[in-house]
Amino acid sequence: EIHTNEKEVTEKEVTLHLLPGEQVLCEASTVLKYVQEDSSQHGVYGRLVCTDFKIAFLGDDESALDNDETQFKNKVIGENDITLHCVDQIYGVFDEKKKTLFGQLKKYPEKLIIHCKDLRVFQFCLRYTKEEEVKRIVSGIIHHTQAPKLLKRLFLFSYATAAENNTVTDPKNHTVMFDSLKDWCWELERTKGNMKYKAVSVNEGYEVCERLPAYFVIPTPLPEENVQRFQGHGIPIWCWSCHNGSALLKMSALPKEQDDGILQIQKSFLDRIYKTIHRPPYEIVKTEDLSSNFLSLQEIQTAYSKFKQLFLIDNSTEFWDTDIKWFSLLESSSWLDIIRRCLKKAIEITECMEAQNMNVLLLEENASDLCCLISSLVQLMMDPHCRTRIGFQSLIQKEWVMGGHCFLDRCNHLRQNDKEEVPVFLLFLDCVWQLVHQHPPAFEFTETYLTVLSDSLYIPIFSTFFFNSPHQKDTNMHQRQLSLPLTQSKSSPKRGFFREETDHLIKNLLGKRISKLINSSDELQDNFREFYDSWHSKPTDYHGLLLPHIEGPEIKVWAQRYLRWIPEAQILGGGRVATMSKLLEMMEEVQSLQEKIDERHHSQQAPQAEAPCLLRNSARLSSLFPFALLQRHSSKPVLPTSGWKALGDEDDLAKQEDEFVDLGDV
Amino acid sequence: MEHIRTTKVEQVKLLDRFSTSNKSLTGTLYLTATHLLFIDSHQKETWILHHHIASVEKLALTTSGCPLVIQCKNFRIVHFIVPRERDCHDIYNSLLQLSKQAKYEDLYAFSYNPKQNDSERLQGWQLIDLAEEYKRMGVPNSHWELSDANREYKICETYPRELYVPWTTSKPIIVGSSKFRSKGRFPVLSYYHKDKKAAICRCSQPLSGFSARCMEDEHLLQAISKANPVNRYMYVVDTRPKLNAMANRAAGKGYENEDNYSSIRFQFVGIENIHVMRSSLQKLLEVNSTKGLSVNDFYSGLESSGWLRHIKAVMDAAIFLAKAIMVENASVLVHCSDGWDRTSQVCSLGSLLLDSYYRTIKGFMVLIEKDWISFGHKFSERCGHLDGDPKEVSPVFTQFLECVWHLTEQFPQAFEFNEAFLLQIHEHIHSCQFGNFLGNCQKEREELKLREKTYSLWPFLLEDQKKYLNPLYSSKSHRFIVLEPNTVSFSFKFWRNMYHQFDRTLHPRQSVFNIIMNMNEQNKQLEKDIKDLESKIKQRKNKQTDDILTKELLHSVHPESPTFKTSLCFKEQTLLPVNDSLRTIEGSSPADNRYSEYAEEFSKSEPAVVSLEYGVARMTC
Repeated sequence: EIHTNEKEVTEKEVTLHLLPGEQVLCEASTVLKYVQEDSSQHGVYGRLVCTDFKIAFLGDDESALDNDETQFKNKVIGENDITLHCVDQIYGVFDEKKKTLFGQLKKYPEKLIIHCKDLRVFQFCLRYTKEEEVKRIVSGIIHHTQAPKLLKRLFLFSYATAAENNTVTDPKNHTVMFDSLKDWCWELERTKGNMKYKAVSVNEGYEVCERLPAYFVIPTPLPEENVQRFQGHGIPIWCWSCHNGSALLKMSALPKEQDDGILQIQKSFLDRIYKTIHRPPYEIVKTEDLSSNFLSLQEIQTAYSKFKQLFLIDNSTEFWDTDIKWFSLLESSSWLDIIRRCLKKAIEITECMEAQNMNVLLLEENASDLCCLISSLVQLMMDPHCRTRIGFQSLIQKEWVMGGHCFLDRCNHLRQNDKEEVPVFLLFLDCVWQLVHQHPPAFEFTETYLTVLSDSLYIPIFSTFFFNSPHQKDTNMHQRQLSLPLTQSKSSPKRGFFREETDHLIKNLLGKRISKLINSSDELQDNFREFYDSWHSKPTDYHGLLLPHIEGPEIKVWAQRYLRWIPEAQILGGGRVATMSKLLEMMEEVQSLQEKIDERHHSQQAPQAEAPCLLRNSARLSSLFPFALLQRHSSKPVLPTSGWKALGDEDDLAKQEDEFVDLGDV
Repeated sequence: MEHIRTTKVEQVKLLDRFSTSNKSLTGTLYLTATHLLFIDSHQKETWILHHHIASVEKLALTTSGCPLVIQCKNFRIVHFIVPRERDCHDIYNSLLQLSKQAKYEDLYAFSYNPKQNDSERLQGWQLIDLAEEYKRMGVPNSHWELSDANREYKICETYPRELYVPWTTSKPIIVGSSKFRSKGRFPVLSYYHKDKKAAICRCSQPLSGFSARCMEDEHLLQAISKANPVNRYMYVVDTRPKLNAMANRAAGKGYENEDNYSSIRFQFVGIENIHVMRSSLQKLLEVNSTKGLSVNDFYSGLESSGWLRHIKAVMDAAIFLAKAIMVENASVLVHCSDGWDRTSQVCSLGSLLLDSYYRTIKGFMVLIEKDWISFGHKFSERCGHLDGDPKEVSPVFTQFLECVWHLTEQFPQAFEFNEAFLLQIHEHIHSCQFGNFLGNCQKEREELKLREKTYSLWPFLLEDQKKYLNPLYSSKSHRFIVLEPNTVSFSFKFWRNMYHQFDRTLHPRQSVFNIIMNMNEQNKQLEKDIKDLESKIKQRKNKQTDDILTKELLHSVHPESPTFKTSLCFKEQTLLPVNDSLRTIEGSSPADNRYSEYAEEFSKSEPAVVSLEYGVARMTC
């Protein structure tokens, strides 16, 4: 997390800062870390260390970095630290050729390139390092970042053991954890959902189902035994209630069966359930099946893996090469389109609840991926409480952590199955960023908060994002002694989204075609259009319903997260930071004047506390602040345009002589 | 007027271009001598100046009537449906005539009367004084002097009378050089950087062909580099793509041969010609006129139009200039073909990066007056003021405004003016309401007697300058703070408020800036209230009534510094009547009281949209 640094005493000699419980595994000296600078590559010598928590580079000349700009920095992860879970891909360079590194190596590379999940790129030259050390560090890094891991090997556990006393929660932190009946009752009361819904403890001790949290909320007339019938499948679970009484519900689908008899039983079971929630006092229910006719997880995975390549840039030559095709590359990744579709779906559901007073039931195989995404987006748009920091954290706790989103698998923390790695949560944060970007005054937090939150997905000292379900977390966190038998690392045998190959292929093809049609025509239902247009034509109430713009140009790239490490993208003394710092400056002035007035009013001499001027000298701040420090800027007048000519799609016009030529019908 | 047959048509429908549900407004269409006016059933008025009309099109008859599509130069597109074909035809014909005038004297500026007397009008014209501006830059000085060679427009018709040249330059040198330059546009000073003692100069392409030389021209270039005491070499920047420049050699024109000129460094920067720019903008507008843009159509269309790439090229050239002067202390000579399109873009943008004066409202006017109007950018031809050659029309100045807009986006604190200012200027280069942009060069303007017969735009903008102030502007900064814009593709975006300024459905309702501007307005109202209250208090005091109460009141209202007023505004705003019903969720937790207060402060009590359009309509009345 980013804190203001109270002038931390920096030791002059370069030492490795270890967290409690952190152990050094291997290291190598005289490693050259390349610094991207124009196209001429030079670097810094230092030590490359691999611990059970991170890979760290310790430059021999660290003092150069200790300037005033470092007052904002991540306290856990230094500029040259990469947590093991943050490593995305490792490449080796052999005779100028770049190859992906994995498994046992026969030959060791002269250069190591590490692509991180937070989109940093590190290049280490090993040419001057002793062969022995190269072998040790390279195979060490590959093993500890790429090889499948056991859950109990997560650094989380050694950290928790060593730093036990630090786990005291800050009393000011009121994030609702939803791990008790009380929390759910409080949420029911807050949203006035307690008339029709009840919190149940039928799953206490995870006796019914390991996928569901110990406590959750269901419609009041529903007998609790029903929950046990299909281990929680087919049960409408309450997410949130709107002020008009309509509610957002979710349901995980019943297991697919071949046997007609069982199917019959399932059908009558569902009929009973639907009967209950279709009857007054319940509103009309609209079912949204997120498994079909909407995004597939594979689409998200493919889009993101294309999208991130735009930012994983090895050198500035590569940068300028891709920059020419930036817009079309951006588009062909379709990441922005996926964001747009998520936002659109959430607006559709909002319209049902807000304008048509309907209940919406989200249906998904396990109700733990797109369900989490859509239901949290809907709440964020409809419930201003979710736009406070505490409210937002509680929302994540409720919908994602307790909702059983498989963070462990989706982030591939254990490197057990690359296919399961899908950035659903990141997609959610990106959708939230669009909202924050479009309506900054409606949120208590800023984009920097979201960026730091996205980084913490890969920092294994917080347990929040390192389990597949609350059950898995509880069993592991409480019984973390090694003597205990190993708990199943995958608690619930999930039906992955890759079922039989053909099945998914067909589904995907169909899904694609349908979504294309839906998208291109853009003829949405009249209700939706009207709702959307009428909201946008009124002045915004930041404390009420909040809808994003979803027209093409409105969906933007989350520059702070994706572009922050690319020096070419920075604007010295400009960007949004400049606006922010000016506003902060003005607010500080207002505040200090206010204090003076109060002082005069009470006619007493209160000690004059100078408001800390955090962003002084804003003119020289870089637009990449607070993530990248001031970068060099090239001094020679150069034209980066030369590449443009290569495109030359206007040849016929350009070849014409200038201003005098008659060009026919141009 | 002879062109108008029908002045009023009722039951006309106005379609919303971007609405997918084909919404429309019904109202009455009026045709006046200067405007087309549509008043809908809510009494909302849409004014369209005839000069703003770029094209009128009559589409095939439909069941509901005859569709009439009007495209404007300010990127407004209106789609009317006129019930009777006969009316539609009349209006169509009238608009065709009215929108394309043959003579300057028929343009709106010659009939526009803002009720000012002659001396007020003359004062308006004297607001921008270029001699004063050169003095501000620091010329004439020991290196640069005012030349009277072009006093009678004898050397170059498209240049202004007053030109600054290196002080050693004799008249024969000037005459010789001008004969060697296309349209006689020889190298002269455009901007002088006092600190660096380096200059930006401008000219047109040399008539060098494959081998021709001109001693006088070589001498003049040497004089320019010598006028810089710090650095003896100078850059010659040809803003054209190399290919175009080479093609020109076959026609006896071309570019400077580095071997013939001592101490020059030659550089092409590759900005495309006016025809490429025109068709690129056309493509951009086509891409963006599709209904309900999806993410996908948008970015590929944006890229294939090439528009942002052209903007980037202009920006890169300006950065080149700024760096040459700041980093290398070298003077720069800029030209293209005739030196009135790309050269104006690059010189003015380069100066803007270098000198913060041009980033103020007044300074920006001076910059336009200097590098565009006085140096003969052909406004009338490029904007198609008269019914002329459509091949001469090109959005060169629009591009310049867009470059400036990108800079304001990248450096929100650096400019005194806001986006509305740029939009308003763009509005008036086409409106023909003021004399500033009429004609193609100063000589022509003098012949038209514009100063006697028309008004200048600048005093009207200055009078209204509150509308154009950027609330985030930091005026404290040093004069020579250089802007270093970023030109990676990510930094360039579609300027929606320009190209879609009349499409409400796509318009962002408000920005932080609007919020701040509105707060400023409210502050003023509150200040007035305070004054009223104070005077009431005084009256009461005189009546010797309750003394204590007065003191109390005086304490809580204390108008001192503007920032303090802001905080006051925050407090009082919650007391203001809130007109719309708050869409607050009733059941929201009492635990976030703090947050609800915060949200209330920000919500409401601001006009729905800052009506730029309305402002324009009023100004053009």
